[in-house]
Formats: sequence, structure tokens, C-alpha cells
Amino acid sequence: MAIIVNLDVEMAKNKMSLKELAERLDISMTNLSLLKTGKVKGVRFDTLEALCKELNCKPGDILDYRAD
Amino acid sequence: MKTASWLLTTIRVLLNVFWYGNMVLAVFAFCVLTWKISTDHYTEFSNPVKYPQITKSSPLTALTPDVSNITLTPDQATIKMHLNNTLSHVATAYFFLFAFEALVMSIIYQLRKFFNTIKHNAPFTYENVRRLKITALCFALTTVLSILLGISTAVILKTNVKEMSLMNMVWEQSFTGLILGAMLYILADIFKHGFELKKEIGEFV
Repeated sequence: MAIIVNLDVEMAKNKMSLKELAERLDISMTNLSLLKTGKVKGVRFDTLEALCKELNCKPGDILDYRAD
Repeated sequence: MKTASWLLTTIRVLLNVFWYGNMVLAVFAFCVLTWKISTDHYTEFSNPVKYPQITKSSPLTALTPDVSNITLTPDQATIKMHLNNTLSHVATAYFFLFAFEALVMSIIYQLRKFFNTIKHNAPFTYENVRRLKITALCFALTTVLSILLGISTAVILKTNVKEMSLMNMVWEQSFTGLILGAMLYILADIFKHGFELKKEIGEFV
């Protein structure tokens, strides 16, 4: 897929584990893990907003585009 | 919605009543059939026929000037006979009893499972799509079974009654089962679409 998810990079910058982030965002660890590995069909804006708020970053820091 | 849940509860209760009631009726029907076959050498058989030879019409009196020329024409009669309990007749009777009961039990069973998932607010599942398709097939097969029953009746009359060449068997065929089956199959398609939409939404985080 051309959309790259750099969630693990931002999590490392914030020294936050997957479990902690999932608890803060109130979503399941499974879904967050799927998002981290880029195996989801899409991300809702409210989830993206919550991620940016918790990780103190911009959507472009989490999502990247690389042509196939 | 309160009205919808009241209706669904009523349907579920009725389905449970039909399920257990049908079990009792099936056993009762089987026992009665077996008892009749074992105690009697024949079974009472009757079927309406159209007898064109009876053409004598009787005039009737009109009560109002709005109608005229009223006649009564008795063109329908009933053939009654004692059908001996031969192996083929007994096998046919048991076949129709088991086939009909199998279809009815399958329909009630699938609908019970279906309405249980609705009770748990999870109607759009792959299993429900399969259940609706099975129910649709069973409803369609009831029409097939009734056609087979008509054919069996016709065969019995034609092969056993000499005068059947002078009359026609009255055969009232209903296609309600086929129409219901088609509607349920379309509903199964809608539920399949709902299941796919739900799956796609679930893949969004």
C-alpha cells in the first residue's frame, strides 16, 4: 500500500507503549496494532485527532505517502 | 425502538411455541399414521373432481331486478374410495409426512436462530445470510412438494378409477411458498450486503 503509517516512530519519540496509547485513546490494542502495521482500511478523523493530541504531532508525521 | 422490540419478542415467543408444538404434532401425526396403517387394510381417500357430464342446471330466483338468468350448475363432485395400504401407498404417505415435517422444522429452526441474533443486536452475520438462504430454499421446496402431492393424487385416481377419463381432477396449486422463497432470497442478499458493509466499517480505526 502507498500509505505508510509511522505510528511506531512517534510512539518511540514519546516513549509510549502500545498498551498505554490504546488506553489513552480508548481503542483496543488489536486495532491500534493493526493501524501501526498499516493493515487497516482507513482511519477516522476523530481517531487521527486523538493520536495527534496524545503524540503531540501532526497527521503528516503519522501518515506518509510513497508511490508504489 | 420499544414497539419493534415488543414485536420481535412476540415473534420469538411464537417461533418457540411453533417449534415445540410442531415436534409434538409431528410425533402425533407419525403415531396416528402408523396406527391407521397397522390396524386398517385401507385408507379413506377423497378428492374433488369436475364432472362435465353433470350438466343439468337448475334455475334460481332473483331477489332484485339487478340480476337475471341465475342458474345452479353442479359441475363439481367428490370421489371417495378406500385405498388399500399397499407398500407403495404406505411409502408415499410416509415420504410426504417426513418431507413436509423436515421442511417445516428446518424453517422454524433457522428462523429461531435468526431472531435470536436480532435479539442480541447482531443481525448482519454470515450465518444469518446462510440461514435466510436455507429458509428460502425450504419455502420454495414446499411448492415442489405440493406439486408432487398433486401428481401422486392424479396418478392414484387415473390408475385406479376407470371413469377418470370422463372427468378432471380439481387441483388448486398455490405458489405462495415459491414467492416467499424468492423474497427471502432477496432479503438474504440484502443481509449479505449489510454484513459486508459492517465488515468494512470494522476495518476502520
